[in-house]
Amino acid sequence: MPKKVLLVDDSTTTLMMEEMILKQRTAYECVTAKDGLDAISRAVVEAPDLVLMDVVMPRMNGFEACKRMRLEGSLRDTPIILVTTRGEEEYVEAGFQSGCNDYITKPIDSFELVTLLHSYLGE
Amino acid sequence: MSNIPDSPAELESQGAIQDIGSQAKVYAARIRLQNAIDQADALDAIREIAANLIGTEEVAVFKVDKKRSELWLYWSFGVDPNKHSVLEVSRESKLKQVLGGKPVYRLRLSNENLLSTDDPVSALVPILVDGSACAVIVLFRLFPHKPGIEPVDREICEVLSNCAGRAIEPYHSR
Amino acid sequence: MAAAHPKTHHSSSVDAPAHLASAGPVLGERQRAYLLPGQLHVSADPCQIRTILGSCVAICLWDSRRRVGGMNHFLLPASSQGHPASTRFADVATRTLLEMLQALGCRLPNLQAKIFGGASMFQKQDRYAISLGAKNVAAALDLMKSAAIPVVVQETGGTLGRKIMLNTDDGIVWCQRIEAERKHSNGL
Repeated sequence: MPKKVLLVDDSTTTLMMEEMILKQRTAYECVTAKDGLDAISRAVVEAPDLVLMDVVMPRMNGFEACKRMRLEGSLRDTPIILVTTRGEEEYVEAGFQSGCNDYITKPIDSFELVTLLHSYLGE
Repeated sequence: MSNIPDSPAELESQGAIQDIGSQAKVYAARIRLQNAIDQADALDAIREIAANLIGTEEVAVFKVDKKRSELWLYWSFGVDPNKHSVLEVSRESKLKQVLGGKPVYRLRLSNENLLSTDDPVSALVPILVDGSACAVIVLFRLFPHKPGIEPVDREICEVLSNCAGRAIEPYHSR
Repeated sequence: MAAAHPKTHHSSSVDAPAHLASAGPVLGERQRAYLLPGQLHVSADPCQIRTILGSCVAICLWDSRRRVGGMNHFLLPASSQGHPASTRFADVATRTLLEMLQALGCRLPNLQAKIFGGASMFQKQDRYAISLGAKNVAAALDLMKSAAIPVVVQETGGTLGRKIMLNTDDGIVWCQRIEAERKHSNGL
């Protein structure tokens, strides 16, 4: 069964781009969510192998979604990579404090993204 | 100096993955703009593309006036609108080129700014409607981790130039 | 796995006294620089360079004679030929860091390195070994070996992100592991 990646972003442009890169260069199955709240419900149902999540989103941001996912038994150990636009120190630190495993910055570099996901999920 | 080489296949695939990444960005930009449901959504698409694909959260759209001598601020995000309300073509040599229909980019190591403002301008992109520049997208300061405008950014700017017409509807000038 | 050379905690006479280590770094009159992935910074003037790492690695280099230092922050172990040089890769980032330090008058024989980062969520050694974090750490160690620069501190691996702060004037580096609820702090 292919590994499943949950892509979370309120930008349809970003979701389209991420999905295209992963579909072309990996065997992972992609599912998407458009904000933090949506991400939590999708994650509980889909049980993804990894979550790639934007930070600034309406309704619930990536930090809060990350914290809540860590409280869900089934998602406690799921790798979460935050995608930050603002790379400021406090911002990145807050990401790790919320329980993420790693972070990458926008605009996303496709080689970085694929290499990082391969590292967590295998090829 | 040596390094730890990854497998040959991995190294070979770096170029292929980056090509796919570039294609994905250009594709996503084009589809997002073409699917914009109205003017507000088209402007939001410009903001999204600038932030997520190019790497700037400071962007403005200026409309060209009838005489094509001035450009008036039409919409902006992340910049002080009072500071950039009007651009005079006679004072901005790069704008003349842009109004000719071709984007202008700041070279990576250049100290020359594209506009006479103390805010760094990274690109000037004409919005073409029926082949004519009706407006100009100004991309200001890039994210600090973004070294400069790259080849894929130029391709995205070409898409902005050709597909962002809906953002300035109605097309007629002031 | 988290690895710190025990000897290095005491080998450098300029490292923080134990009573300061837990108090955290003092910015004082120093300038401040923050590195995002792919960035690097050197300074001949007193400067505190900071960054935050997950699977990325930062190499801190310090010239004890000139009291000049610098840091890089890379994401990937090796660039391939035929593609634009990017400081997001270990080799390019380290070569550039060395060139910038040499431009400030530093000499390779006077440099010492402290290496941080390379976390991975995998704790088992066999799985960690093939993680991006492990590859980044291996690249850093190999690059220092090639340049004959001694690695006096290595605080790498593990599962947690790290906050790193280097004072370029005294060579002290603080490494703080970032946990979801609580933090550990060590002066290195």
